[in-house]
Amino acid sequence: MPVTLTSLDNQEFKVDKEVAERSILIKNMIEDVGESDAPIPLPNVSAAVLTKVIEYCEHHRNDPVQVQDETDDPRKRSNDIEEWDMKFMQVDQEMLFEIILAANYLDIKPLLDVGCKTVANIIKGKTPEEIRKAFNIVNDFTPEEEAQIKKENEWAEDR
Amino acid sequence: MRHPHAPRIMTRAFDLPELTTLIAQFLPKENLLACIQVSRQWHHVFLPSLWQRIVLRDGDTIPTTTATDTVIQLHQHSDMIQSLRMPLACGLFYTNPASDFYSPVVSDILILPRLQELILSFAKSSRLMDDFRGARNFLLKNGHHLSSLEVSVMHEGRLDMSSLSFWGLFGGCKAPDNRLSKLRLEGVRMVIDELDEASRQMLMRLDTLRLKSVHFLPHFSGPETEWPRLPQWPQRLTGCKVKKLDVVECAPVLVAYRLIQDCQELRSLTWIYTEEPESVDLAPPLIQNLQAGLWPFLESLNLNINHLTDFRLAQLLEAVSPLKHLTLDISAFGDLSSIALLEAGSGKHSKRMETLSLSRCSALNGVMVQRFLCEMPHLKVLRANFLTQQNIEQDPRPWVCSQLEELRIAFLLEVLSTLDVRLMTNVILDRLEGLSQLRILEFGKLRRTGSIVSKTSNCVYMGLHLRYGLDRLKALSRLEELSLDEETEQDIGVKEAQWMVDNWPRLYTVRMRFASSCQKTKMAILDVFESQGMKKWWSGSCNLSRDG
Repeated sequence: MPVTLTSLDNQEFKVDKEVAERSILIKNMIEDVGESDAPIPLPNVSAAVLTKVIEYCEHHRNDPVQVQDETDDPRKRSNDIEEWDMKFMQVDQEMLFEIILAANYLDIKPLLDVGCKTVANIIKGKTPEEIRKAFNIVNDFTPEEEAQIKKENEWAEDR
Repeated sequence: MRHPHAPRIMTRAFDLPELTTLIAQFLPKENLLACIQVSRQWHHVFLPSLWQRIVLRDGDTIPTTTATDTVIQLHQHSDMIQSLRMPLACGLFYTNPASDFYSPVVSDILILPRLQELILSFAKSSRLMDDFRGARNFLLKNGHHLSSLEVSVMHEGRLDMSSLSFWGLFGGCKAPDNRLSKLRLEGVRMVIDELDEASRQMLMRLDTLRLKSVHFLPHFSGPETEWPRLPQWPQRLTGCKVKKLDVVECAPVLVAYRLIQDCQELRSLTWIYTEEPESVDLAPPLIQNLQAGLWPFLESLNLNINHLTDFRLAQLLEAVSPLKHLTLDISAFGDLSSIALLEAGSGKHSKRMETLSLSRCSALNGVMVQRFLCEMPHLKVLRANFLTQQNIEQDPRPWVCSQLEELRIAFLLEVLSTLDVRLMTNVILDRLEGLSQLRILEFGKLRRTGSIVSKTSNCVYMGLHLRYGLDRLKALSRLEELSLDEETEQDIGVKEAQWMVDNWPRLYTVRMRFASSCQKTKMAILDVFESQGMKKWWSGSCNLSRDG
């Protein structure tokens, strides 16, 4: 049975229930409301972003539910992004962050993870100046402050 | 020109602490240090992740100025630290080496209000008692919010608990509203008849309990030889909520067994005892209790106990509830056990089994491995070490384990001929096609207590040359690890390496020995792996490396 989703800009999207339920938020909404033809409003997501999110959910519609694996190592790998996901995430930065925010709002954990991994991969190995360049961030520290912050926190770097 | 909206969106994204925490968990600490220097906003959002988990080094707690420095650092960032690993060597709690008296200052000032996980390891030191007292004081102040606590004593000498109450250590964790769910103890001597009510309640609330090399002692000050043989838990822990219990080499085993009996909500049990001499045979009561349905929720079992025979193990597998995970590292697993595993209760185990790990099992052979693959539809992990029987018959039925992620098979070359292994390997290689979820494939690793003299004449040729069937493995698009034992020679060259990189985009680890002795070829292969960006994720622990 298809479900209708309405975006922020009032566009309607018809998707399979199975696809829509990749979002825990929508899944819970459907469970709460019960069988109904009424469209589900998503006032935080624009049509452009929703299109992308639906594309992701379509591709992953048959994925098994992720089990939280209990590892002793709290630092997680970010280089295990699947090829399809990697290509999917090749978007401009605005869209990347819109997708992350939408995944967070819609509660789609695997998409949120892939988004955060993508951002982490951009940050990885860069100096503070290179990070600023990558994200177009203005440095509001004085050189003294920056040096001071580094000095104060170096101790934690390898502990 | 960057998108004009980018800063606005990013500001929103980086304003949400749950998002920055998520991003931070994929970053090593050196990158987090860079992040906090980027801007005031980034400093604000990434700083807690940098300080969230602190793993102190051995040198950090030596009673010199470094220990003082450590305390200052921890103190200054106390509101951010959620996880702390502390190796203790007198330093943290006893900062003044000139003083003969235990100084409570440090454990008094160091308050970490958000501490959730604490790992204390007592190293060998001349002032273990001071460490213990310091740790006790520290826990009294910082134990209230802990959800996970680990205490290990790596000490050759004896921590004489009779002069201080062992249970006093747990201080703040004993508060009635405490949420401690995981407790791990290693190498401690537990004076169990001193267990006070608050400590008992603490144990009753636990979710996970791991005891390794724990000795249960009575409160008795006489010489060790005169200790009462079996101390009792003073108040039984019946109704204990523990779901995951590991009891590894704990003594006396009967006391350990009583603890296991009390944890009737167990989902997962690891019980290993191989060392205690003259131990009582606990297999019969274990089987009786299983038959009586004492642990109705048990779904994961890792067992290696003395006195277990094939007959007993078979009884045990028949009596236990359907298992999802089974690990056995015992030679007792023979024909009877295998029948019990596959056929008991109309194959109740086969219907649920997700992880099956068998080592040193005497009855393991190729036919049985194929039976597992044909009869266990939910199997995700199969580890079969020591295939010893010369049975290479092919099972014509289809493999049902389409979810298999890990397959490790080891042969014992001393018993099997090279030809047997080759035929057996090929029977399996030929049928891997359907396993599209496979991430780890390992062949031929020899694991055995005692050394094995490897002979070059024993090397097995796997036939992973492109001309001889590497194509068979084309469907394994998720393969991350390919391990072939050093006894297994490969004649792969540059073309094969290129093929692997092209067909297995997630390949992370390759371990194998190459038949080609040509150094130039080896370097060329390495170039292929590295050229695909594998440099970052290539961990070749084989003789394919720049050095050798």
